[in-house]
Amino acid sequence: MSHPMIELRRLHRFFGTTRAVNDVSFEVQRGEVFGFIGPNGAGKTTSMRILATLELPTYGDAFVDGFSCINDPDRVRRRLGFMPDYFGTYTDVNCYEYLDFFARSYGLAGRQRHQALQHTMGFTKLDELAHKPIRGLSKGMKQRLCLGRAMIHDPAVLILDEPANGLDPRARIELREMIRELAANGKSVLVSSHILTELAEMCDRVGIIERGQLLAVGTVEEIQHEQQPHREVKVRVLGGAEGARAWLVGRSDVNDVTLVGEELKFSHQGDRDSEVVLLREMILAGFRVAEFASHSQSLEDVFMAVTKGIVQ
Amino acid sequence: MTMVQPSETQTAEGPAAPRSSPDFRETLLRWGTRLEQFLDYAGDRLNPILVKEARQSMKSKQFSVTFSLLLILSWMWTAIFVAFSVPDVFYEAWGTRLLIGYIIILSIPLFIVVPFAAFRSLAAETEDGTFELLSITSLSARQIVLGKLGSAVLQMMVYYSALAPSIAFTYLLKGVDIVSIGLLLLHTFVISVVLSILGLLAATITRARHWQVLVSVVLIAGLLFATFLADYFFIVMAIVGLPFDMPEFWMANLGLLNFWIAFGALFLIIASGQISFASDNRSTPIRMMLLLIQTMWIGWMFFLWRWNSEMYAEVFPWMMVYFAAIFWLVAGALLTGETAQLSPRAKRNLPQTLSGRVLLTWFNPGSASGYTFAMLNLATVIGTQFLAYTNIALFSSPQLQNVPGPLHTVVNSLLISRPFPDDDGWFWASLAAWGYVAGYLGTVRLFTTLARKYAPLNMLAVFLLQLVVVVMGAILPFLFLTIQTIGDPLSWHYSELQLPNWFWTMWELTWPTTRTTISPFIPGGVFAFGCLIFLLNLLSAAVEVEQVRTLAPARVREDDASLRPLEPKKRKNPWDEP
Repeated sequence: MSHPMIELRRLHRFFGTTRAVNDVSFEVQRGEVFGFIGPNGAGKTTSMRILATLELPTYGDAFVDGFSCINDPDRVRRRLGFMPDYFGTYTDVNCYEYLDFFARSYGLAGRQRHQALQHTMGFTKLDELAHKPIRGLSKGMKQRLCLGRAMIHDPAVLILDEPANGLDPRARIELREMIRELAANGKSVLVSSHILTELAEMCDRVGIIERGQLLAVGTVEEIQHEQQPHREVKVRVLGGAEGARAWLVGRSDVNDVTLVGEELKFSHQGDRDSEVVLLREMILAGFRVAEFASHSQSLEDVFMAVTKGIVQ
Repeated sequence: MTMVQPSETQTAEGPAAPRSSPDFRETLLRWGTRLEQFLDYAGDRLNPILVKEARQSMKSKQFSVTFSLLLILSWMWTAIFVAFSVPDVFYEAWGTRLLIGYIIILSIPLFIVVPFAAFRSLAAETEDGTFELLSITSLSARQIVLGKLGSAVLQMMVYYSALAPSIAFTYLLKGVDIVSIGLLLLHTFVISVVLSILGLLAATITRARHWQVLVSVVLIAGLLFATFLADYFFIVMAIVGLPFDMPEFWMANLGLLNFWIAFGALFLIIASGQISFASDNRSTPIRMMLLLIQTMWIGWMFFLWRWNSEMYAEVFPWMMVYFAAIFWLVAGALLTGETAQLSPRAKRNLPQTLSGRVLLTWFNPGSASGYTFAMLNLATVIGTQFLAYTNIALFSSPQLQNVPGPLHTVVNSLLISRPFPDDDGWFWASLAAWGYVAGYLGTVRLFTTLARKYAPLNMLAVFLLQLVVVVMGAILPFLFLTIQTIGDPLSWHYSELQLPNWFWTMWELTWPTTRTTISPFIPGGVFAFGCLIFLLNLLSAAVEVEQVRTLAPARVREDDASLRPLEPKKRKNPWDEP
């Protein structure tokens, strides 16, 4: 029986009169990286904590690999690695001892534990820091250690709450690569971040949440298309720009045509394939098209378009 | 494991002879590997928390400072003792004094430092955010608490080992024997373990930092008081001497140890329940432990009743009922604070058969089931007392005592040869005790059930309400009488107006001088009221009783099947299919 690796089903979580999570539903498939975007206090962390079996929802349920986070937390925990937005490290232990402790806590023993430690330390590039006390680690190193802790038991699902927070550009790129590699190995990753460019590059799909409500779910393009069904196109025609303008105005899939010098700007209703058709037809019509560019919205544009900046 | 190749070293005289034979080295290496494998294997089976805490604590300043201070204090005590006691120590039995000094020194880390460190260890997990990380691992709440306790025990062992040479030295002196040393150390160990469990329980009471501060202050005060009491007890024991020849001494020791361990286990279960996942069934293990403690209590009281001389024997049935009433009043006040909502997870393990549902439903979480559980258990204690006296009345009756032949032997073997009470005060007192517990617990439970429809009431709130009502039930009628009799002190005496005053009523029903004069309508009325409240509560228990087992979801069953594949069918007889 196939089931999504992560599923939020009509999830609600109220704190008094505050609706931290209000009827949120989405699914994440195996090997998928799902970005959870929203302003502070939007309900991202609460949703993630419910998935990590740290909190109970007021209504609804969350599932990891088909198991309810309310009724089968022990089964969920075996399949889940959670990296919260705080470090949660012990003093008086070194990196190896820290990871070894969590490996034991997840029931890994003997050769299996040694292999898990070796693999995790290698993957997170902590080999050289193995015997370094945790209190002497930089923020980036601690983030890597926490990622190592979350993946030490080889979970099928990883939930990462603001993993890139406070990291320098190099560490961010390394983290992004690690997450992509984890997804390539079949892990499902739910990741939240404020750095939208980072998410756009690593996520297969995103969910935008505000005031506890999920406003949009899908790939960046899908959300963009949903928000704005037409694309802005810019065409530079060598000679005959006026003719091209008239030709474009006559088309039903083109609107708002403006001409500045040789450059035509218009909005085109359709997807990328229809843009190819339009370009071909322009060339066949005899226009000397020197430049044809369509502008797609960035994740930041989509985020700004979808959210209203209301904080509860 | 790197294999070391046998090598020969070149010397000026030519090749040197091998340092040892290759066979020997191989054997050594083989054994080394085996030892390493065994240690790995053993380490894997240890509680991970214990391993981590051992690593942490051995590096911590708190441990180093305590250990050093312990050593310095024991050396100082030895030096002072030797300086002031020589030469008397060679001729007089002064070994006990030296030993008591060591025990008092040891009591500081054992009764204060270790329990408080256990408390801090668990509280710090919450403060540092590591508890959440721990709780989402495969470790159960009980493993976490046991790991913390194991770490406390490990520290105790290190402190004991630090003082071991000094304690061994006292054995060489007069006045101390190995049994006294062993017994005193055993008591210090058990007390330290129970205090550490209490420390762990205190850490689970609240996660709010400001409350944690308050709890830590109360805990330190409690630990200091406990240390004072324990040290006082040890000093008195040392002065009076340990009466090894008295069976009562051993029985008291055994009884104390029994109840230390039982209550330690109960607190451990409660602490685990406090930190377990919200949808877990926290109640059933606690109720099972409560039942076990009650069974042990009945067993001890019954044994002491049979074993003691006739003069004191009568005390034990009374004690059995009174302490059980207090026990179930406190436990019931907590149990009635539970909510009646069963999580689907808890419902998966509900009893299915009729007998299972009749007998085991009362172990399920819920306010009504908790109340019924407490009252049925108290009724069992009273029933035991009733059965014991019925046995005496029945088998010592002239009709049965005069039966001829072998039947007479049977009757006498069944008879509990104890004197029958002179009056029926025990009967009325027991009925009143049950009536008071049922009445007070049940009334507050009915009220809180109603109040919960309008406002959420947690377990602590219900417990506090129970406490206030029980205390006020005793104080208010007393105050009323005091106000009523101002200027008329002669009319200040017990009357029916004091019926809600459980303390005074039970006092009157207990002492031989008053219990024979009190009207049976008073305990009878209390019992009748208790029964009425019990029945009303039983009606509201229907919702909890009606709960039925639900099937685990398909995904869970699928997972179970993959974790525990079906074992091949074994042939149980020659006709079975292979």
